[in-house]
Amino acid sequence: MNGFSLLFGPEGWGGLLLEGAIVTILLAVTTVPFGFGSGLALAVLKLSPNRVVRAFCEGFTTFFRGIPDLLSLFIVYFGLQALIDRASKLAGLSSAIELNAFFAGVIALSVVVAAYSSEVWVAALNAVPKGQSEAAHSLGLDSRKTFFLVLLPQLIRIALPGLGNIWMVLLKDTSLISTLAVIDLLRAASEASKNTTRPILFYSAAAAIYLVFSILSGLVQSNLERRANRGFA
Amino acid sequence: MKAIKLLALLGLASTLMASAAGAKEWKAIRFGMDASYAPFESVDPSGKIVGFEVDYANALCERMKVTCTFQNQDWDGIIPALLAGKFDVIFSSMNITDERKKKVMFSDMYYATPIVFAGQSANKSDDVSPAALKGKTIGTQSSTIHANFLEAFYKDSNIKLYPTQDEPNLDLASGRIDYVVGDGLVEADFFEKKGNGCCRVISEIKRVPGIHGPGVGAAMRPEDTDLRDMFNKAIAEVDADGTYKKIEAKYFKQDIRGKQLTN
Repeated sequence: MNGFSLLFGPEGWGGLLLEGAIVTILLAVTTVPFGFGSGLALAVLKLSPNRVVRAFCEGFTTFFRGIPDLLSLFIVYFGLQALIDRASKLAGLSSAIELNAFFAGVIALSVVVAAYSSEVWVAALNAVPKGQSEAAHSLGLDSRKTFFLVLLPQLIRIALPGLGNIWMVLLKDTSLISTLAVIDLLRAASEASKNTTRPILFYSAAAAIYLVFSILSGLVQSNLERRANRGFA
Repeated sequence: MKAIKLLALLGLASTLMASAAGAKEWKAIRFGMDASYAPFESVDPSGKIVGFEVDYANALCERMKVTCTFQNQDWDGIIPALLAGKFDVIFSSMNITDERKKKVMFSDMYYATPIVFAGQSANKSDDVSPAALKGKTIGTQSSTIHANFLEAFYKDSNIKLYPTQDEPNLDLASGRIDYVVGDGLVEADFFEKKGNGCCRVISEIKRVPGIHGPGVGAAMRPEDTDLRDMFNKAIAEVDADGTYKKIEAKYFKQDIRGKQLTN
């Protein structure tokens, strides 16, 4: 069978590759709110006057930036499952609550993204002049309105390049979940190449799909940056 | 206050669950397999797991009157996954060994195939003694009886271990390693379908009782004795009414039920 029919034919592996691509995108997109959101929360805590809180956040960031992301994934997948099992045993439940590999991937990647993005958010928080929140307060805006209407748009403008970079890394880090037998794009390519002994064909196809995602992300990012920078010289 | 209420609710729930957890009624069984072991189990283009063990498992489930689902699980983590409850039985050509019996409980043996040495077609020598293979590179899958065998008897060779059996076969085909040890039928299937004449099966290895065991069985958690009894009963039934031979004939030209080939 030639390469074209292996990919696109009815007996072909193209369908599996597409399913894998969807899992990859789903994993990355699901991680974004949890990862970047936790990163922002972590950054705010890092600027806290409380020394213990600051130390804990620094320790958290150092740990998850310091170990390979694959190791973080394993720690979450096996460690969290063990914790859940221990907790269910203590609560007396007879059947274990199972941690789905996809969600273990979301949690692990969110933790890693939070650690990396917190540094970007800290830089952004420090860059927004304190006068902004003071002025908002003097106008009578409560702290919630101040944050979402005044601070956040300015934070995003400064943080966007750094966050965009982390998104690109996240998109590729999703491939780590292939080690947990989840059929993502990389795993689909590897199954196909093992079954047909045509590794170059399928890995090139996977690379092409990842590149399409990356190029689209780049376009979206420059669009967002343009919007965030409107009104600035 | 809220914490106390939550604990009370959990306590109530646990007593309800505990009463229901007496004898487990098996209606659905989840099978765990490492689907990189054609023709026993592999992934087809639609992502489904297919192979001899899938057909055999379906026949057993029919006898046991349960619904069966199949999950793909990498070989290195397959026993931890079973013990963690991700599935109920390992049905993945797992040989019965004393070391594994310490962690899991096996059903009766359901097949035993010859174990072989394979090498490149250009290599005309049939001598696979430890002395002849001194310094050569031999590959096989990690955490298997083949790996244990090599580590016990071929200490002077370079032993390379891989996550699946496909990888040493691919490396043998490309010339990166000199020999492969593995299941005779898996090797023959690989060379026939994907080998392109690169390699050949050299000779059969006589099973060493302490290392190779009697054959493969279904592995379960030690507490699931009722499941094991269900399996043994079904295995005997599938043997008796000829279904085993029918499924076997679809995949293999020889009988693998429990007889060792001598040539």
